[in-house]
Amino acid sequence: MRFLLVGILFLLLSACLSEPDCIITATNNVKISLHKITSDSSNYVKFVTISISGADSVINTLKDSVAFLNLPVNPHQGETTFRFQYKKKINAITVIKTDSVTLSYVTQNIIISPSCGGYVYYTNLAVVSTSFEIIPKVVFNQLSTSATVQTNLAIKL
Amino acid sequence: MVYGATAQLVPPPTATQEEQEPDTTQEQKPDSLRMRFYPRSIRFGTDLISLIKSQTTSTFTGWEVNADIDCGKYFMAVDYGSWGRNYDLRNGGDYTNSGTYWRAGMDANLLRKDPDKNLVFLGFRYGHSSFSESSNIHISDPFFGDVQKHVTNPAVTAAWGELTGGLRVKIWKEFWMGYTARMKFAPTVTGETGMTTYDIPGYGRNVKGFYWGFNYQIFWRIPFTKQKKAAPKPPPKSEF
Repeated sequence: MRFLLVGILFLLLSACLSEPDCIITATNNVKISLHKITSDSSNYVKFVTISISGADSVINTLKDSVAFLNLPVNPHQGETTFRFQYKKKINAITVIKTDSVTLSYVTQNIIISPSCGGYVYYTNLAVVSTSFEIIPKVVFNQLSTSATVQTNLAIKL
Repeated sequence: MVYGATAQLVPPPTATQEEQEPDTTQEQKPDSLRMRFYPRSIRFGTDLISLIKSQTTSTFTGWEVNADIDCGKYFMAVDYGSWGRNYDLRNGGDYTNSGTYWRAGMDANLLRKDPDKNLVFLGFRYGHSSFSESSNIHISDPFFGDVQKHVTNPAVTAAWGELTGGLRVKIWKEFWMGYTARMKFAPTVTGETGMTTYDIPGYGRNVKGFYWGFNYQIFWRIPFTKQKKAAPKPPPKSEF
């Protein structure tokens, strides 16, 4: 009986601890990792421009070759197309290639608490269409700032 | 009923009888709660906390009415209420919901042999809510500028369970007061379209695990039959 009372008291008090932590992992940035076609190893690529559908500006400030991109999806639409102009060596000759990938996603408004705020979470990330030789692979279909989510999309190019 | 009537008619054993016979009748002591299950009275009430919160806070509007039927040891209970929330969010935007809910269940009176039938009870409820909700969320994005996401869940339903405990005390004639503490659990929500439900009318915040609720209530009791008044006790015999 004594243990039952302690158990009931614990349950009652546990309800008082239900105030949520203000941990915000919402983002509209998709984490893209670049890999070689022949293996899963990282591929450092020099991009000339990257354009994002629905955005006025174009990303053309990438001076160095990168193996990782963090690109925003369009919060006004359920789909976003990324168009990449990048340099690629083919038979020892560097050419500029253009490829694109269109991603779809679902947005979900989540209120954490009035004092923490409400945020838009992006889930169900999927590849709708692409011009890459190998269809990019969705590694994790929820966009998140969390360090545990290292890659949303893996592209072989 | 036959048992109760019989128990009241049997005169209490005298000291001499008790000495002569072994105590084999202890289990047959009269117990006001060991009665047949049939409705004796109904109590109608309302929750004062909802009414006060509606008047004193800008984030809540609502009311709740309650009824319970006295069936002896057990009380069948139903609640019906209206609930609306309106929050401003810290990062801009807002959240509103509005809907109605009901609960149904049963309480067991733990108080034995109370002549006024005051209650200290434990019980359970099944809760159900129908409501709509909407939110506006502001986002500042360096590529896409300021974005305002307006989302509505027009027809959401939710269900949950509750363990209840509390008391009811007779104040004056048929006027009663009491409180109910609610341990709410296992909310299930259907009908979400664009947003995850934040607040469920009648339940509270949509969280896994237990959620706490509290009502302070006033009641008016209507008996179905006139109660017989207990016969006055005979005055104690004078020793002189």
